[in-house]
Amino acid sequence: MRGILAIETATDACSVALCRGGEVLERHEVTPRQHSQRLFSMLAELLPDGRLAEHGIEAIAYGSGPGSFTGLRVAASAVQGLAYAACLPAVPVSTLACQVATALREGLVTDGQRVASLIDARINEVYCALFQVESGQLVQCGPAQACPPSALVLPDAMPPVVAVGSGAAYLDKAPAAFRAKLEHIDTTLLPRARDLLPLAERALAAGQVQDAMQVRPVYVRDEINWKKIPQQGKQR
Amino acid sequence: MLVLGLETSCDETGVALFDSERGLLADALYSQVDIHVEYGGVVPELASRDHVRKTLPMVEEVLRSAGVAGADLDGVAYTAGPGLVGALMVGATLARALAWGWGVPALGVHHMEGHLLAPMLEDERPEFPFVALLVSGGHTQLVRVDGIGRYRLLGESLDDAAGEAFDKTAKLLGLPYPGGPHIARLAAEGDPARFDFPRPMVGKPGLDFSFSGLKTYALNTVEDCRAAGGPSEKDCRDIARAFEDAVVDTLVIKCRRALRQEGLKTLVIAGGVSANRNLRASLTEALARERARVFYPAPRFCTDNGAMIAFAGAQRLAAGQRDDADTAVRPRWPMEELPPLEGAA
Repeated sequence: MRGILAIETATDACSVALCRGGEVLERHEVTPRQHSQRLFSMLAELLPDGRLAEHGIEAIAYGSGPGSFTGLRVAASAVQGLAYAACLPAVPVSTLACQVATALREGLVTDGQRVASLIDARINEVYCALFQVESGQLVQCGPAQACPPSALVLPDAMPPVVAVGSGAAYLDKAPAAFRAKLEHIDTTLLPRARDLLPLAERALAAGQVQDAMQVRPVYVRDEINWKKIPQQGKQR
Repeated sequence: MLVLGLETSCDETGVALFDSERGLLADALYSQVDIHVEYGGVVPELASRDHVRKTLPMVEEVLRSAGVAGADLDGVAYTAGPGLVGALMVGATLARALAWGWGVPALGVHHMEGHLLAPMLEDERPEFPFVALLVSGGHTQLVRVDGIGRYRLLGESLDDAAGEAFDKTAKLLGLPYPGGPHIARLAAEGDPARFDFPRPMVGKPGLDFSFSGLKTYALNTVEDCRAAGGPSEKDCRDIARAFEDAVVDTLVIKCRRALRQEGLKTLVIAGGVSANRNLRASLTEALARERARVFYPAPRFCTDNGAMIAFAGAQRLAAGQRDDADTAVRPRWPMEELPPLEGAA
């Protein structure tokens, strides 16, 4: 495997991993709301100095989202800075895909299965994308979306599905037709940075890289519901 | 000491490069006002999202214009607080990542210390000790300054900050956000004799402020004008004048009182409201009578900016201060908790 540093901070987990000379090192902590505080200590445990290129790092992968807005910005800002300072490319990877890769490595899903990857989106919504595992590779079926659990749908012809992630905790509110397709639910799974590494390696090989300036969170929920002045009611 | 400074505590993105020998080498400032204006105030989530887009390109612009490479720096300073937590986190994380990647130290700087030291970016610099009036949309404080990090709070607003009162009164008059400059523009043509607004807390001893009552007084005056078929454009100009005069008078009275109480002859004024011309003129005149001097930052460094953070950071980095591995941003951060710096600046 190529030398890649990976950062995943979209959920309650602050997770960093490093692949160097075929060896994978990881620091993974469940530290809600403390990602920006912990991130640099964890990075320093993997690489005592920040000289990425000298340590054979060729690219910096990050979980681009969706997930906690603040968490996404911690990863994006860190990757912007590291990629810019070290003149390295960045590789964005969907956090929902990373989560499925974690589930696959941990044996929660197996080859040939369908997976609904779900993350708590707050305000009674979930982020969701469907994946199929084919020969150890993840194939995403359709775009990631943010919706209330009651709006989740699966095609009638789809075989049974495994649901993973913090958003799966809300599946009791999903439509009966959706729930009928679920063969297993794991609500505790959190995406781990080490599982970004193989996904990033493939993306890197396919040239799917970004310049530091292009690094952005993928919020999925882009319509912001604050009221503009005309909607704020009486002004005086 | 060559230091890059990043400021992202609210709705302005500021990046600057300061050198202890050569002074300010480059600075860039971007205001998000156009994003927030339709909401009538700063929307924190939108502010954070915009900082993620703007900050790194501005870092590159500043380094390029000064012909400096990141690894040549002696450190990266950033605003660690006080401010909006999400917005602070963007600048803090980017700054720390850049510093780590370049192999140089990072240091979180106190936003208000940045404002307080901004007049030292000018050729004519104040000397310690002095009294500082920090006056912005988020703060109204009088501070005794005996050196960098040697601060004693003398008084502060018990409710709205002066800039906040400007913004809220502007909204009452149907003026866009941020209201300070709009009020000042109207006030310049207003009749100072028509309305007489109170000067809050000047009759009481002490150096605290209160501006929320002034805003209510403005509201009642607008209502009176409405009952009479207004408020007309002239009504608005006259109200703006009366309001601005009341704020300025109050600030001048308290500054004079603070200087007398502390036995000092130097006043430094910083923060967004310090750009107000009426305030500058009134303070200069009032303090000349006291044979005291007043120092201001250049108008472009009155509002939030990267230069003041680079400057404050350079002083502290030069003294060997730097972030711990686990440093966190501090949305609330009393300035008196800052460590003193002996013999600097």
